[in-house]
Amino acid sequence: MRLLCALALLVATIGHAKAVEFEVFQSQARPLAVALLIKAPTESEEALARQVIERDWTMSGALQSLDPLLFVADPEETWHEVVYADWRVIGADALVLVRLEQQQGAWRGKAVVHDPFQMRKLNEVAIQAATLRRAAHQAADAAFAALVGVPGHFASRLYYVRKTKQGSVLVRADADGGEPKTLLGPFELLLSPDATPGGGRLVFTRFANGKPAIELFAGGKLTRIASFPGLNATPALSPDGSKLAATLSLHDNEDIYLYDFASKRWQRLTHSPAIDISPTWSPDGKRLAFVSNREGSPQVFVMELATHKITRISWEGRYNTAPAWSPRGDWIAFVAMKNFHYALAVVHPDGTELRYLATAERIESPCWSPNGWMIAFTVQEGARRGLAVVPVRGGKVHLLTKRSEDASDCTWAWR
Amino acid sequence: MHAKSWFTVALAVVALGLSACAKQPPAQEAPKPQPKQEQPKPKPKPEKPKAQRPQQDAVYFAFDSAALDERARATLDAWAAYLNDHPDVRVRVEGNCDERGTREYNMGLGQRRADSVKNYLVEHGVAADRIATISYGEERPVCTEHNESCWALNRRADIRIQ
Repeated sequence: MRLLCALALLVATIGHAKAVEFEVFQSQARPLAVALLIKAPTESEEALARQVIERDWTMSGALQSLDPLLFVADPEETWHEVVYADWRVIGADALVLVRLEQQQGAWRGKAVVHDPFQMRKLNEVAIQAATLRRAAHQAADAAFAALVGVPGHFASRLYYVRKTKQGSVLVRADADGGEPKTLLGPFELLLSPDATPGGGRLVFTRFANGKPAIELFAGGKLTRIASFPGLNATPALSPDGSKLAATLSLHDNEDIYLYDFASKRWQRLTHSPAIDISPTWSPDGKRLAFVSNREGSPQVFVMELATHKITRISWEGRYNTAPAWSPRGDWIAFVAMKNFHYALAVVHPDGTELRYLATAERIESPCWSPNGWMIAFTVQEGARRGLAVVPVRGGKVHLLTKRSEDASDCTWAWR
Repeated sequence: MHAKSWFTVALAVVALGLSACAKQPPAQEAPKPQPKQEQPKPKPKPEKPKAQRPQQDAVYFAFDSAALDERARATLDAWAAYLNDHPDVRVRVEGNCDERGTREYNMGLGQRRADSVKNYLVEHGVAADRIATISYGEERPVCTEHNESCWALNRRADIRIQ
């Protein structure tokens, strides 16, 4: 933690600087310098593991791998005994040793994290994974957890919608966009997926025969939850998975409704004649943020579920939509638009400390890593659409999906 | 008749705009069609002639708005007359948005546009259960270029006979 306090100027180069409507937040935090040693059966496997771990750390903005050419210690000897002075002298804030072996088709090994300044081992984690990439993500997580003090998100899973010629499919990929696999589809249209933090339950809006329905995907089974006349949109699972908030237009008006999976009952939560849409849960399940144009243009509001008290939290600009509440509870991310320029914004749930983290020709649908460290979002430049990530504390934007892939609508879970 | 020829020109402009995409959005100052204009040829039936199916299927909106302007109301007056004369006909109103704004909010706005059309028809005597509504948000643009004339065509509600 002491290391985190070291400050230096990190100039974040985010998106394109052309959008003068938004002043992008410049992070003052610098990444920790980490010396990484990897042992794998072959050199190419070592290289792949290094590439995966280094990219994970770089995208997080929290850790940065040191160039191995700087190392003065003999790597071979370091596996037997760590001489901390050799790592302090090259400015390593941490030393991470990763050993990976292939056993009966699976990858096993361990990651050990040392602090050269405190001269002690901080963490040792056993690794077990089906693929080398996943084993590398676990090693990256071990270092992140020990050095940042937050569980790592690198081995978590990103779910998103890919549009193909055959229709929309639901994809599950690694947190860095690697190893994408189609889970469901193709469907006519798939929108607004939302997963529980554990990834065990997933809801979305699916169009079939031109009509929208809210469906639940759990245990390999697809269940229809809502197909009312009109709108069946923007479902959001409560963090414990027992409830669902969604937008329906049952009374010829777009309002937020609450569905209880146990009782199978719907309850109307908002009664404004305005458009109320895009609910998102606080991690304790006690509040919802949502979008409403009740005051003239779309803005983000927070509702206390116990009292139904509603407070507006977005005050800058005329168009603030698509809120996503951080799993740590401290921020709400949303998409801001001014003069048809877009930005990814974060604000505290009480409406304070608004920051713009990224700008682009177009930004949509933010979602949080399950540890609350990163925000993924849809970016569109010209006809190309893909997913990008940025750390919540500010920093560089990285693209996750291939330029050729029409990816959008993310949700992020541990598994 | 002078007004009638203007109306024909306006319809032609709309048809061109819809087919060519890059053309101008629907003309702003088209006059209200009179119920008689929906009847180009008198039928040989002795009773009051029934209103024919309106040629204009779409009504258009301003950005982030579901308000019906005069032109939209004229289109809907023709639809109300037609639906009131044909009680067996059911319609589906599909609300759409341009690509600007955010996709989720546009799902709500598209529904609001469809509802706004439905409410107008209901106020003009059409039974609510004959009108289904749906929103496609910005997912089904008729025009895919990134300019105002194209966006204007995408901010619409389509009326489809079921």
